[in-house]
Amino acid sequence: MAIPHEKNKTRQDLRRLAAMVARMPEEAPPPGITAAVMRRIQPKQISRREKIIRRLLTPWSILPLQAVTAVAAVALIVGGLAFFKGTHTGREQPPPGITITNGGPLAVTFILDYPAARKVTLIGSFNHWNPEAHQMHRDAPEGPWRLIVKLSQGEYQYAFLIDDQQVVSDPNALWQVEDGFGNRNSALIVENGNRYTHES
Amino acid sequence: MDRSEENRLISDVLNGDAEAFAVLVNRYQRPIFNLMLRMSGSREDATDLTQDAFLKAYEHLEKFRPSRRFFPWLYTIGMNLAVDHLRKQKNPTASLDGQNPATAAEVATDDDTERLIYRLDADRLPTLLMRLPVDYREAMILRFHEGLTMKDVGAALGITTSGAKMRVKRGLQQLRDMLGITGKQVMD
Repeated sequence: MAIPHEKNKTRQDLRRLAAMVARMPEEAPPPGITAAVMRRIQPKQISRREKIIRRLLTPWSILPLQAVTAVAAVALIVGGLAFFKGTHTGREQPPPGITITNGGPLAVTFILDYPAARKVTLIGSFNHWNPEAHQMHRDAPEGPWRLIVKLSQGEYQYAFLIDDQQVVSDPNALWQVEDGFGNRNSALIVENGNRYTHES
Repeated sequence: MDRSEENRLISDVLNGDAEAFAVLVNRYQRPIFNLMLRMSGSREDATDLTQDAFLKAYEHLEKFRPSRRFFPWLYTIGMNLAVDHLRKQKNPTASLDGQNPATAAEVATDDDTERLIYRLDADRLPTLLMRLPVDYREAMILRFHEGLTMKDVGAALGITTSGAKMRVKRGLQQLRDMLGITGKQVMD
């Protein structure tokens, strides 16, 4: 039949065209671009904290398959109490893991199931991505990493820093936010002034 | 230049060694200049836009994440600058040599696929590419000419990897159609 022949020819055509694009001649840029750019820049001044953060964030690697993350109490409180009233009629029961309090910031529990990690740190906009601010802990050698952080009303982005080397977002977060350069942070919103705390 | 070398240079720049940035400018000025040339159609504008792209990259280098490749990130900056430039110029179409690109009819006068493709002078390919939508053209150039992975093509153009694959595929198909190479002709 002619159809397989046609498909083969089409593939050959496309491969040849791709090869032509690969070998396509280019214009040489005029001399002096580098010098012109360098004349217009000044050496950067960077704080010590930024240096540390950058060094820690540098050696990214592939996320291991066993790194199954489970966040607890991702506090999506858009619409606040009205939402929970609608889903828990009568007694205004909060969602699992969250208890309504009368005041104070919201206590959010972050959980990461990452058995192979030796150290896990929570970094985010709420701690200015400081890798030393919020170290997570676990109760058993193979147990999940946990940390409770009290957060005020606002929008936050966060990620987990594994063994001071690898940054992973939280795949179970309700939102993942592009940072504009192809990376993703997890997002968390605390809104409407309602106060919740983790149910212990 | 491999990724570790790039990251070392960027780290040096961020630590105050501005001269390290010159290596990156030298390395990538050619593809960025050609991008600007395709977008603006003017060597003078392309030169200015190329400088602006590197200056903007330098200004925002703190936002660059070492987990990514530098060139797609730089390319994104360049594309945004070029689009802004075109918007200001209100001249979204420009060809490299100022001449009207060849039409499909002018090029496709032979049904023999192989002879037709080989007959195409490689020097004319940029002119033909200028007839394609910018999205398809740049995706193909990044993939085949710059040798980027589909993932990096997507990152450079601000689209998904599957979106990049789609643009590359459709760009090749449109280029083939421009040459008059249709399925019917192939079967003949």
